Amino acid sequence: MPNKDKSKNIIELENVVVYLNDRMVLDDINMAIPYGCVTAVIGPNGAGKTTLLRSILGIIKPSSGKISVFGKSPEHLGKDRNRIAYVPQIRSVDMTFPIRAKEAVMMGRYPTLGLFSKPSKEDYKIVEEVMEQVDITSIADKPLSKLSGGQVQRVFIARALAANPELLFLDEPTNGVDQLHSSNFYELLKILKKENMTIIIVSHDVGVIANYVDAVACINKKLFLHSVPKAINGQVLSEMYGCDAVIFNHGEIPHMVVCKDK
Amino acid sequence: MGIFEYAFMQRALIASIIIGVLCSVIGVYVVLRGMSFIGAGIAHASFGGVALGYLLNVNPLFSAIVFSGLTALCIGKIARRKVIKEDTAVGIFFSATMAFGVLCIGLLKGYNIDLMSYLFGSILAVSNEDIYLIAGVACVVLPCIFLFFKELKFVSFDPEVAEIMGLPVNWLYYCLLVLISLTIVASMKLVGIVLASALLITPAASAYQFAEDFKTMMIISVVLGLVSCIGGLILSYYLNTASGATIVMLSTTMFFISVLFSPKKNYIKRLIAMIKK
Repeated sequence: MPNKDKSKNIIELENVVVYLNDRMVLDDINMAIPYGCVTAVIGPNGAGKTTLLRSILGIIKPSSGKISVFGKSPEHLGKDRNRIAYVPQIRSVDMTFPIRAKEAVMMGRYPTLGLFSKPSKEDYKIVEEVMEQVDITSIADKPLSKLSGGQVQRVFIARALAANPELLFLDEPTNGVDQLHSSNFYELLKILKKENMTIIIVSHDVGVIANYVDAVACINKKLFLHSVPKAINGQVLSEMYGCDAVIFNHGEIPHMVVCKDK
Repeated sequence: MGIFEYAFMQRALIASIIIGVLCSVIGVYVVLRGMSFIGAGIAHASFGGVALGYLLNVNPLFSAIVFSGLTALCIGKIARRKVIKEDTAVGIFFSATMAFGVLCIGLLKGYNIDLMSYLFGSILAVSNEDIYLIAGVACVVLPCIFLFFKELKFVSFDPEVAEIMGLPVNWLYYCLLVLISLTIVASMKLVGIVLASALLITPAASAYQFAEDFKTMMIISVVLGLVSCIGGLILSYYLNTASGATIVMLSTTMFFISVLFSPKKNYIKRLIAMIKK
């Protein structure tokens, strides 16, 4: 894929420190994510995973350190924001808003359309295609308020895909989603990987997600590991979760972490 | 109808129609984004603007537009910077501008201003100049809504993702605040400052009970808003009541009926089921 950016990594973090309300949330993070890599960012609740995401996206400013996305600082992304798409946690979205699934998906086209333009036939075609891809064509006309968590999540994934992004972020995609849709999500991830997109998934679902990604970053205020999924072992998880962890193995990747009673 | 032979009623009717549409359209954003308190705050700021206008001897509606517009932008700026919470910012400005207005009125001893008609609205108070201003506001607000329709929709639904994906969220927010100010000031003569924000909320809230998508909500809101304004106007003539209050009572009654018959809540069905048992 030809690279017009000035950087060989799609995302770079250098000595990034983030404070929120006088509390240090991220401590000296150094990371480089190459183009086309599918990375899972894992860690316990409150570890700073979402803060990391928001810092990369430019919503939060780091107290010190440098972040670059597409070779630019997140605040200066400008038009390059059209190359990014974000799938939020479903609990942070207003499901009572009067909007139908296909309308929400069409919103993914708005940044490319620009102000003053209405969607064209081409845009409607793209929306149909992505809805097909995530299998929500049958619920396209339903309002969001009538959909389940898993269905809404697919709508948001479709919205993100409609933007035809090079960089895709998913924030806790299996949170609040029932089991059936959760496993469907991982199958969907397989399809997304083929699109040559760089994907970053924030998840607490340690073992399962690790099976589907190229790299894993373990975060709990600090970066404990940034490597291939196989590198996760009991020690890493103990350090990250801050306890003597009991690991349940399901194949090669630790499946569940439980803290031993002291 | 006989009453519309009177010039003042004709002006009031034109004002009703324009204001009915304006408030119902803007109201959809106010209701969905939880900005009703801001609407009330802006209305009180416009009181300060009116008083200032009389003091400076300019058209009070113009000074109201400038004053409440600036107040709205200040509230927006402070809220964005997270210096204090949005509703605190509104509360502070709300009372300060109102107090400022009262002080100005005090300085105007000897002038005869029809305060009551500014506060509560009056069918008789709408002049030809007012009609031009109200129509002018509509010519600014409605095209803006039309031009930025899809962006405002996205930003109202999911501001965080909209910002991430590159929409100018801040600009759109300030733009909306200015449009709200313009709408409130346009409604002032007919509905009055005290109740202007109610007209922003009630038709849209009623429409919400029935709508499954954004456009439908806006259309239903406009229909209900027009019915409230024109109906309220006619009623206030015959009942000899303040126009603003009558319009708002009619609008509120329609709200309660909407909730009762709302397909989203199904109260009627449940009631029938309960009775059958």
